[in-house]
Amino acid sequence: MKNLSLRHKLALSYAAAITLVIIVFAVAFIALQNVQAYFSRLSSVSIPLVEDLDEIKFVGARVISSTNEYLLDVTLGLEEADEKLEQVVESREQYNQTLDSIRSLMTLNIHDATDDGGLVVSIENAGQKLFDIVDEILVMAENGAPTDDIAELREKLEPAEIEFLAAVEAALNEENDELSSSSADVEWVVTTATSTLAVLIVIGAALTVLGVVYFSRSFLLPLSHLHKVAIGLKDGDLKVRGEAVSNDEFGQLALALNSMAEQLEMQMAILEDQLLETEEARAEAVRSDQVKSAFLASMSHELRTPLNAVINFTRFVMDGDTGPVNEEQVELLSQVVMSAKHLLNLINDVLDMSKIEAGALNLFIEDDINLNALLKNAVGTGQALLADKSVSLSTEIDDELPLIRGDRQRILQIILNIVSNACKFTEQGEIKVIARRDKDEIVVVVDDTGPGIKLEDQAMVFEAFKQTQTGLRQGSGTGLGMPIARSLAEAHGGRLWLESEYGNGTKFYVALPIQSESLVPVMA
Amino acid sequence: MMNFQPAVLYVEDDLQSRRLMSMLLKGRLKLPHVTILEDSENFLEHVEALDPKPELVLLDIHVKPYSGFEMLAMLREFEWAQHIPIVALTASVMNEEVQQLRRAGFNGCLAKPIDLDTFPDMLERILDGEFIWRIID
Repeated sequence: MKNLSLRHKLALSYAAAITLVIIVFAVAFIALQNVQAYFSRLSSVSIPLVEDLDEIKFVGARVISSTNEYLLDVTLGLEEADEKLEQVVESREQYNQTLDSIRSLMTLNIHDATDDGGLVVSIENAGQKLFDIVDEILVMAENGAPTDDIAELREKLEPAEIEFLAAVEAALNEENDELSSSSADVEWVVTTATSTLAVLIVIGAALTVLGVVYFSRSFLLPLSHLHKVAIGLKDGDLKVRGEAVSNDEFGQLALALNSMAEQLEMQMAILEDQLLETEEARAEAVRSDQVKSAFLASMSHELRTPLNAVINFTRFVMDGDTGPVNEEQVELLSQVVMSAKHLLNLINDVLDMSKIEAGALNLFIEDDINLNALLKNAVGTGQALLADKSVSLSTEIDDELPLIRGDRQRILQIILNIVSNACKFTEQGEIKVIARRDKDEIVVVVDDTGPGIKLEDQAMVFEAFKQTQTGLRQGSGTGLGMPIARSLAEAHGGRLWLESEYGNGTKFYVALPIQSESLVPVMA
Repeated sequence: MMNFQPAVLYVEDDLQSRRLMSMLLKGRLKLPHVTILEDSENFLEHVEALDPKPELVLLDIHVKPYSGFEMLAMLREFEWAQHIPIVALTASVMNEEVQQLRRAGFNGCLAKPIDLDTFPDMLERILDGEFIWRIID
């Protein structure tokens, strides 16, 4: 049974049930057939036969009585004698008919057909013997034989009649035996059928109970087992396995579930491996970033320390702290200071760019940064740059500019960058610094009347180590200022872009979020 | 020239920086009590021996055997140093480093190279209780 599929098990149980039902019907059918045969024989054979046998008894007696009456009439010389003779002949004809009927009915009897034939023959012989005597008497009476002779012959009539009646009685008994035997047969069949049906019903009930128990076991047990396995898998226990108790659909389901669990386990293992690898790669990247950061910090330190000496010793000499210097010496020394400061800016920019490219740019985030102060600072620096030019620098700063979250130094660096950029490139006209709130952002615009930037050069402005022709001619700067400023703005979750028409000035825009959730204050 | 002439302690391992600050503090600003140490060896003894006690301390960070952070902690143990400005004077001015300085409890950070023109003004502001974290001028 274990190797059968559920489909086969079900088919098998249906077949068994159907077979049982067929057997029950067959038994009942056979029993009914027997009962029907019994009753049909009873009505078509037994009853007419018994009637015929009674009839023949009666007819035989009437032949004798008619003969006796005829003899009496003849003796008395009555005219009714002929009538009586006719009655004898009639009765004899009736006798023959009845005998034929009996003969034919007897042959229909199922039991002891030969014996029945014998019974008919014995009736026939006894009848014949009786009618021979009757014939002889009638002939003698017709011929006017002496009364004593006739009386002698009539003496023989009584034993012949008794013999005839006995033969008929025997046939009747035989038929009764036959009937009772048939009825016993039917009774046996009905009893047997009844007990067979009872047994079959008990077997059927038992099988039904067994079937229900078996199927509920073979359904419910594996179902609840597989349910447990599925719950286990759901809860993340990938080690659980189903038991394939049988080879049926449940067994197959268990195997499928197992292979699914194996797949899951394998995939999980792969995922975990990948996670580990990713984790390692990430850790490696972090280590590498740390190494880069440490290198950049060290570079910054190592470059700034000698520049401190170069710039400031030169300043002391230039400022006359160490003794008098002439104009030419001052001029040359101021060139040294300027070049050294330019070198410092270059170093700052290159280090910033390196940090940005190494992903090591860390913002020092604070709340409540006053943009107004930063703008004033930047404008002050810009004004110093414009000292020798006829360019006006004005501001349009919204009075109610909100305090923002960000890196103060870096925001100042961004604004300083675009303001000093405008101051460097604008030879005449004006520069406007505008700051206003726009929804969740603050937008700073630096609008100049400088030479403008050709459309094809505009993208280049934000690319590191590239300068436009105008920028190159201008001769100062590293070409890193704008890319750094844009990266710093983006690091704040903001944007930096420009609008310019060649020959018609340039507008630089910086948009910074007022309160970016992605920026976390250092000293919260 | 500064309005108020504080006693200054400066610890710096770089010879050129020491000369520079000496020229600035003693030469230009003419401060009467300027002590410059070239390392942090026997730092506590040196500090205890100071008279008058410093009213402004400038510390380089990369000093041996005690770093600027350690010297800061040692100084803050003294009653008289609880509320005097202690300022980092360093060439290490990347953001992460400045963050460390702020967390450690410095009153400010002045970057090398220093700007001779603005340096005296910044010292005054720091002495007035302002915290200055100047990286870019």
